[in-house]
Parts: sequence; C-alpha cells; structure tokens
Amino acid sequence: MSKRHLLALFNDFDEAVAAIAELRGSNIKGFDIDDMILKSPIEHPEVEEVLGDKPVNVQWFTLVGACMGGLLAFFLVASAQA
Amino acid sequence: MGKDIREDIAWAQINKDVLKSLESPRRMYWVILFIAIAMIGVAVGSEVYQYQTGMGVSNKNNSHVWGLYIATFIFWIGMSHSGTLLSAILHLMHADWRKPIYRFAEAMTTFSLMTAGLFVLVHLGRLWMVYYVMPYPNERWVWPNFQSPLVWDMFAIATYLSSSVLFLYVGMIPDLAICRDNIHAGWRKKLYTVMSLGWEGTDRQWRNFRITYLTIACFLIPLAVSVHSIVASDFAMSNMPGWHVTSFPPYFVAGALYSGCAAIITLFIILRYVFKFEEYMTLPIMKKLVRLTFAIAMVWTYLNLIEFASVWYGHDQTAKDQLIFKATGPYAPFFWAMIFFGSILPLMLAFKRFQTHLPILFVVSILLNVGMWLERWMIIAPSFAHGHYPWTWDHDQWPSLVQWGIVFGSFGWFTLLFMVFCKVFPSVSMYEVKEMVYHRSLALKHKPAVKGDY
Repeated sequence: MSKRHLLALFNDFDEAVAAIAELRGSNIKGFDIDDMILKSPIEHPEVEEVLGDKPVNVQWFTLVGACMGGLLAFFLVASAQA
Repeated sequence: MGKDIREDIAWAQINKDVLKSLESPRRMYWVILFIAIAMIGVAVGSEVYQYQTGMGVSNKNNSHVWGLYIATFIFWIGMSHSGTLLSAILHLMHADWRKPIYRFAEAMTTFSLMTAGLFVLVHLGRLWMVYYVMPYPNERWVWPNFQSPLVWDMFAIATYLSSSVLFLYVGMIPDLAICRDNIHAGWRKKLYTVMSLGWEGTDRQWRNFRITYLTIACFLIPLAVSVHSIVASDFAMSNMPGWHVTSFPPYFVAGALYSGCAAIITLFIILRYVFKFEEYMTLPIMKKLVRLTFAIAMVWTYLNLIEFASVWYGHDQTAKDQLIFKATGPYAPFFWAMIFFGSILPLMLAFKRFQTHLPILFVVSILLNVGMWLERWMIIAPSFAHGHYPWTWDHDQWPSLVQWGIVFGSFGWFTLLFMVFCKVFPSVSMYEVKEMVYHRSLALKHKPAVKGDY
C-alpha cells in the first residue's frame, strides 16, 4: 500500500499542538502517531507530551564509542609494555 | 531597567542581521585582523629567535624556570572559564539573558585553551621532544608520575578542550542549518551543509539536541572547576613559599571566572560595534553581565584577603616573608597594581552610571584583565625570587623582550582565531534569540493590561 503524506503549516504553535492532540485521539485507521513529524525553528519541549516517547538509539552509539575508547587505551598501554 | 531584547523583532530579521555579520562587518574588523596578524608576527619572530639561539635569550635562569610563559598559560586557561559559566551554568539556571551572548563566550573558551596550549610548547627548551610531555606509558622509560598535578593538568586540559569544542559545535547545529538554507553557493554552502548534519528542526532532532546539550553542560561544569583546581594544585601541592595555600583552588577558579567575565565585556563591546549587533547585545544585558563581573570580583577579593590573612596569622615564617617580599620587594609595584586593578577598580562597576557606559567599560574591562594577568605573574615570579634557598634571593628576574614578544603575540593569536570564527560562524545564536523573543512576546500577551487583574 502506498503511503500518502500530508503537510500542514501553522502560524501559531498552540494550534499545531492542538491539531496533533486531536489526531492522536482520533484513532484514524492506518495512521501511526510515530509517523508524524513536527518541524519548528525553535525548541518546544512541551510537544513531547503530546507526541509521546519515540525510540532513540543515540545511547547505543555512545556506548560503542566508550567501549572502543576503552579498548584503544588498553591496547595502547599493553603494546607499550610488550 | 529596559528590556533585554525587543520582543517584536521578526524571526526573519534575526536571520538577516546575523547572516549579514558573516558577510559585511564594519571596516574596523579588518583593522583588528591586521593588528592581530602583526602581533602574531612579533611572537613568531621571538619564538624563532628563541628556538635557534636557546632558552637563555628569554632571560629565564635556574631560579626562574617558568617566567611569563607559565603565568600567561594560567591566564589563558582562566580566561576559558567564562564560556562555561555563561553557556553551561547560566543555561542550567534558565537565565535567558545569556542567549544572545553565550556563543562568542563559548568560542572564547575554545580559543583561550588553544592559546594556552601554545605556551606549553613555547616554554620547552627542546621543542622537537614535545611528545615527551604526553603522559602515557611508553618505551622511552619516561613513566608518567600519576601523583603529579602536571600529569593531571594534561588530562584535565585535553578533556576540557575536546568537551568545549563539542559543546560549541553541538550548540551551533541549528544555526548552521539556517546558514546552509540561506546561503546559495560557494565554500560556505558546502561547509554549512556538512557541519549541520542534516538538521531539519524535527521534534525528534530537537529532543535529542536538548538532551545532548544538557548532558554536555552538566559534564562541563565540574570539569571547568576541576581544570583550574588542578592548575592551582600545580602550585599548592608544592612547598614553595607563597604557593602552599589551601585556598588556592577556589581562588584560581574565582580568578578564572573573573578574568573571563571581564574579557566577555571587552568582546561584547567590540562585536556589538563591528558586526552591528546593537539589537541583540543590548545595554540591559551588559548591565547584568557587569553586575555578575562585580560579584565575582568581590569573591576574588575576599579569597585574596583570606589568603593574606591565613599567611599573616599562620606559623609559616617563610610564607609570611614571601608575602612581605611581594608587598615591599622589587615586584611591589606589580603586586599593588594587581590589588588596584583586581579589587579597587571593579568597585566602579557597582555604580549604575558606569554599568552601561560602553567606552568606560571597554577600558575598565581591559584593565581588570591586566590585573588578572598580573595576579598570575605575581604568583610565579616572587616565589622563584624568594624561595627557601638563599641563593635564589638575589635572582630578581625581569623577562627579556623575547618573553614579552611571545606573550604580546599570544593576544594577537587569540584575536585572530576569535575574529575569523565570528566571520565564518554565527556569533549570535539565532535560534535561541528567537526562543527568547517568542517566550517574551508570549509573556507580554498573557500579561494583565492593568495591575491587579489577577
């Protein structure tokens, strides 16, 4: 099934939040709230309450970076003493 | 007091004003750049001469092994703390007046650290063996002494530099996207496209951005405090008279914040004029900055007095002799100049009439930093000239022109880096100024028309 996109422009941030809240509560078939993207030139943390949590993978990237750094340090010390 | 910023500035106007600063600054910009390059020329000439001839030309000797180089190193490390104060501490305290001015303060942090790092190289006799200062276990049989604060210095400063570069960069991403979308061709377009990392301002990006920025801010505050505490430990953990003082770490941190705030005032005035930022770097913001500087100056003065009192009433006779030597010996004019510029002059900042008088503030802020530079020199030179060993007592040292030339040129190096940064990257945070304007206009909309409406 092809996916259709809908773009809405809002002049006022409160109106955008009200529209998202209404969409979330409307239970439209085939519509997933995670597919909704809100773009804004400034930060609006309050919108997260309406949009809900979304899965984030940044912490895994950080964990891999930390492990690689630790391993590198270990091999540096180990190779210097070999 | 007037408004920190006008709440009716259009967002498009904010973009336009800041983007214009990347293209057409006043002519003074080029004058400053030229002077900075000339100053660097003096430093490069002095360094080449010192490198080819030997460290003797700097007038350093067996007693005075650090001289102006390490004094200036501490000065530049200290200068870097204001960026963390403005961006991280005031960010966590929700002081939104910082928003138009924190970006250049952060840049100042990064470039101060880069300038400070140069002095580690400059004061080495054998520059080609610079990698020996890197404290890692190696096959050269030069094992790092992890009990030495000099080793901690290396780790702390390297961590602080990388963290502040990251903090500066992460905070700039939304603005780099604005630059990318408004500049249509050329190297700038490519640079901003790569650096903005595909920023579109989606709710998810903003969420990740907020969490990342907050995390780095929380990480930076203890790091900044520890960096200058460790620099203070370079002195306090030795038994040199005048250095073995318990209050040195907080004294150094207060001095660092003090000199940094004074430098922010100087750069605020320069950027406001050069890039025509009168709408954003407003006088009410300057007033708050000046009051903050005054408060920190008084903390520094208090810690200074505590140090003098604990030495005077303590039982360490050599430390007391050292204090008397500072106040009455050959370095006395510099010692008293430090007291005057560091503790007496800032009292002016308590008066409202001076808090927004830009020409006076420009001069005073520079003099405050002269005082703070003298403070660092007065920590180092008198202790080397009047140590525990009597043979040091006739070793008053006046730095040679080579040392002065390199110190002088470091200011040019910092200025060059800073001014180039301000021409390539937005020195006022566009998205945060928009937030500031947005929240203030909302507050104005919901404000009762007549007092007592609630």
